[in-house]
Amino acid sequence: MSLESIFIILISAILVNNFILSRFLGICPFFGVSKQVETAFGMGMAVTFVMTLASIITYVVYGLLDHWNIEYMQTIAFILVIASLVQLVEMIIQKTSPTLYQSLGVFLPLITTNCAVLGLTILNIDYDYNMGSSIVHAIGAAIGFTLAIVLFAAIRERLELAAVPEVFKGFPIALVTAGLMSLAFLGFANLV
Amino acid sequence: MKLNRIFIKGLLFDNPVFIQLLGMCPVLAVTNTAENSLFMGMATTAVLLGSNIVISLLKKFIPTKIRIPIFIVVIATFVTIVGMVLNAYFPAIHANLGIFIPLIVVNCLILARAESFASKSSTVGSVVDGLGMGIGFTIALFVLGSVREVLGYGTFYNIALFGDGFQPATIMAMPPGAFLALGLLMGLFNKIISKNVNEL
Amino acid sequence: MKDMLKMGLILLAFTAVSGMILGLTNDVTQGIIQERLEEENIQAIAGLLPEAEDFNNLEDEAILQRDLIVEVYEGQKEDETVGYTVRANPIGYGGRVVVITGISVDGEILGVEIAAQSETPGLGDKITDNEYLDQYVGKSTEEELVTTKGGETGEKYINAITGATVSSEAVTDGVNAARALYEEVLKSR
Repeated sequence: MSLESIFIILISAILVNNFILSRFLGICPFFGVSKQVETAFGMGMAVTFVMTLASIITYVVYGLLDHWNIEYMQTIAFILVIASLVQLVEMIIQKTSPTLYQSLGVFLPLITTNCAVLGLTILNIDYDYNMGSSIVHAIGAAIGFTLAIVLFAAIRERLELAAVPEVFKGFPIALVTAGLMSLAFLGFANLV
Repeated sequence: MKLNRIFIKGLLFDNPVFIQLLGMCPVLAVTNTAENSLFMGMATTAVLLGSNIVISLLKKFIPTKIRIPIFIVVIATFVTIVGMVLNAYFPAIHANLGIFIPLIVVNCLILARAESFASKSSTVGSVVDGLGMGIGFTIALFVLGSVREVLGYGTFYNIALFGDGFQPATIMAMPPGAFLALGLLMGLFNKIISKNVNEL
Repeated sequence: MKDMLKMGLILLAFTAVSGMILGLTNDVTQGIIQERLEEENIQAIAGLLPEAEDFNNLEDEAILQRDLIVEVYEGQKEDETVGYTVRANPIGYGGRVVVITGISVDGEILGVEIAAQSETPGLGDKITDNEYLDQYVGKSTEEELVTTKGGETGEKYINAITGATVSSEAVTDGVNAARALYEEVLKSR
């Protein structure tokens, strides 16, 4: 795989096709755990970890499904892989690093139903990515996810202090803010 | 709980989108036209109904410890069936909804209903609950999709509303428009609710 | 331990039943989907090479191993080759874009058809408009086509759709793949 194609996949996943702001994958954690920069960053790290592992495993699993001509089991197989992976990661982190578990632990169960992870693995298949490209794509997607959620958390921390009309308090103003961020990211559209 | 209460709860007071904020990914992603929104809503309702029925029927055979993986398998099965049927009979819709069809699996709404309602209730109740929540979800999607289609394309359900001189605000059909439209609609929803509360 | 085994078996049973149900559904729908795809394909390639009466699928290793190329048909009339249709699947903004290019036997692009796409409605999906696709018609296969945003005119330029450069480039990629295939392989057959 050439350096150029790695670069293109990364830039496109981080900025142009940002998972949250332009693909709408991972919206639940985006609004759910973006009240503070620190927790947002923790979520981003947990997602990065699971995404990278999930792309590797689902790549192998899809190879098997394809070999047996049962591609239609894809959705079931992938979601089960992700669910068990999350469980496994949770157990390993809990045993090896209690401090890391303290900071990431609460987010891990949420990742199973994070559509960004399942979405990523399905996109890898749709794009016919090989193992290498899938991993690069996973890392790019995870960086993009973390970038968006951390930036958004920083804005929301300040938004807490702003005078917002009563009916827009909370979720509506968060959505409008996300809309403006998405608009800004649209500026990257012609980058690649 | 009376059946009509269960139904109205899902449709209005516990509306999955406007009140519970569940399943936001498809809500934002596929609501660029009224037609896409309607089909997404119906597909989700079908999966929700199917999984609610199967889980309420089999609840005695599902061990508590591994209930989540089993719920996921049941839901994923229905999702795959819906995907195949759409691909066979509505290919254009299947292409438009794309990756968001398999992603119905991770729509928190469906898992939440399995966990908090279907695994504890009768089959009849679960059917009504699935219908109420599903229709509530569909209506919310349809409203958002209609607003975005009218503003973004100047059409409603593919019928042109304005004359040739109309320049649509394409941004509403693009990703930022999804966030903006839903944010503004929710503000409006809050306004209506708070007004009603004040009058009571 | 015994408990775990039991649970594993229960989960396995659920998955097995689901696999069976999906297998049955797949058998029913797969036929319909295949039939529809074939019908659409035949219509598309016949539209691109109206002169041809018979189509042969070229299942040549040297062709199918190339980047982006999915399927190539040779169109014939009274046992003489009149042109080729090349199906390619470049990556656009929202996934793969399936582009079928019709090329005459003397190296002219006869037409381009988008068989499948999931580009942004209202922007990227304008690549299916004839207004856009007609730009490719009549171009020669000798020179690589370039998508431009600046409005340059000339034999090798294709004007991108405003706000949908990625989608426009995907189509050009597909046509270029077909063009290169013709120049490097098909021409000398």
